[in-house]
Amino acid sequence: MTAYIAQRVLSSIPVILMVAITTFSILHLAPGDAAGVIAGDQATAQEIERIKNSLGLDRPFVDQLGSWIADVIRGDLGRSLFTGHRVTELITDRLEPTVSLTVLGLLLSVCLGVPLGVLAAWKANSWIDRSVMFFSVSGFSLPGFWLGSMLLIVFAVRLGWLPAIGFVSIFDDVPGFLRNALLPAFTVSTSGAAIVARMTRSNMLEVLSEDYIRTARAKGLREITVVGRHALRPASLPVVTVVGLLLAGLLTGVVVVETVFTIPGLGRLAAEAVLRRDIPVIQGVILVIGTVVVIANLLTDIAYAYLDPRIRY
Amino acid sequence: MLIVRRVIFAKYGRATGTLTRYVSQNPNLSFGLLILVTVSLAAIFASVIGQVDPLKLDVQHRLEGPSSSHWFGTDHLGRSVYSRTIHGGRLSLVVGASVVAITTVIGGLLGMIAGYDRRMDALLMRVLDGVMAFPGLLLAMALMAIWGASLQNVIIAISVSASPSMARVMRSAVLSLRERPYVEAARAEGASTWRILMVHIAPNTLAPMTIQTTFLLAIAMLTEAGLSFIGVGVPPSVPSWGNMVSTGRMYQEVAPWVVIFPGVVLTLTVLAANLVGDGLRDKLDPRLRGKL
Repeated sequence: MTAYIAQRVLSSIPVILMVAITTFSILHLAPGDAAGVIAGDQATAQEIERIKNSLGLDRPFVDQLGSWIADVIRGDLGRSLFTGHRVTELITDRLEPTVSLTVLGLLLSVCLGVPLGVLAAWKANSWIDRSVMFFSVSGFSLPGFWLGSMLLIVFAVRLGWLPAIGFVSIFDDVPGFLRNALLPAFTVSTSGAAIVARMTRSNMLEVLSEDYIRTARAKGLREITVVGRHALRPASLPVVTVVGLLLAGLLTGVVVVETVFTIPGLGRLAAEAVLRRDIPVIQGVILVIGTVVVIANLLTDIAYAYLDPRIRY
Repeated sequence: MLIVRRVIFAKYGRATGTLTRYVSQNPNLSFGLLILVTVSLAAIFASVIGQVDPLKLDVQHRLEGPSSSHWFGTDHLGRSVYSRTIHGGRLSLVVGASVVAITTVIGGLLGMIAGYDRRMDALLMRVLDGVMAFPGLLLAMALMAIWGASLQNVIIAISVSASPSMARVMRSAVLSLRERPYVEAARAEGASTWRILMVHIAPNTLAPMTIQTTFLLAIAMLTEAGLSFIGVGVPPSVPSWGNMVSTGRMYQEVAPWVVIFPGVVLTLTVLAANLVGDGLRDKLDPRLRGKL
């Protein structure tokens, strides 16, 4: 196990390095002069010169990349071109809503997806199975920004059951947090729930045809025990392998859903920064999210190897 | 008539026959194809069936509900939502088709190189893993911030974020094909690498690549809408399903149709692409039936 972990950790390092290089290179993909693009059309020569200087654009590429990575390792992501705040501070201020929405979305994906998948496999080829599978395809066809807007108008504006906008910290007020986070978390979880449901279904179908399930049925166990105890555990285990994938999907959803529900999270920060062309902030956010996805994939692999020892060899 | 059918059948053999039968027996696949064909036709003939100019302002008739003159109602500037939805479909399909074409060529080539050449494999895959770590929409947003709003930039930005997944599909197909006896035979005969890749390997990757392109079409259309929704997609004057929802949201309490129609059409189109992808996969690669 230790050897496996060491090997996986080592193989993640070049990927994280690639994430950093990609993040850095984005600035240099600008057509023509990056500083000119950032400054806008009406900028004076001095302004452009100032931006060039503050971003170090007047030095060679490899030189810039080296010092940028060194800064990142020291925890310095530069300053916002717009407000002058430290990017690290902007990100830490906005971290909590995004993290709690993502975690809640992940929980919802699993809590909705696993039972639906089990149901579909149990009643395979019936109308229940077909409708679950149809809803699952719809799950990743629904655009988050539209579903969110629809839920908002129905449950928040028309029915007035839940608040329409804003975010309450889970540390201040747990029921308040849930009321505010329910609609956005549900919105981001639909595609994840769809993926989990499909996976659980196909695994469950495989497991249900195993000999030991026939044995369990033959010795007269009730169907609920057979499906719920004997089949569910091996069938739901592989869901762990897609947590990394789900996380990337959820984070994509969070970016737009935070805009819909006016939640001050990382996604909103990224969207605002993109509209203002605040490059250091954009770089900071995508660097953090890219790294989180790589680490999540790493942890997923390790967790799965721990749960299913066959993977290690 | 019968003779003609017999000739066609003799010429194209069983393949056409089984495929049409398969499509007609699979309700999800036929539903998906029907919607995709309808949306494509509507997009091609947008200026004919679009009732009025999607950019025509008519402030006297702003935020009016669906009626016989404006089937989907009008927006806050009195523009026809129906006409804008049809033209938005044209944009969505143009972006989707272009992204599919670009990623098939670029992702396909990269995947082929990685799958066939062991030395390049490690390097290329690390690079692609690095790009894939970013959620697609976020990477496309960052690129749009640098490049500025335009149709061309939307297509390139989405292609950049979508190419790695195409390359992965191609790579795994090539990895399993390169050890086949007929490829070995071609190599033994002295065929060049290029010839082996293009003549012997590429045609056999058609099945997995076709499946991937339909899913990619769905993802590209969703990403385009997402970019336009945030405000970094095509310029705001161009009707797009994403920016229609985004501006319509401000008026959705009084005029819900402004948001409902583009969203429903977008969802149906993406759903159709996903259904076609699922149906094709069940047909072309039955081992994966019902999986991810």
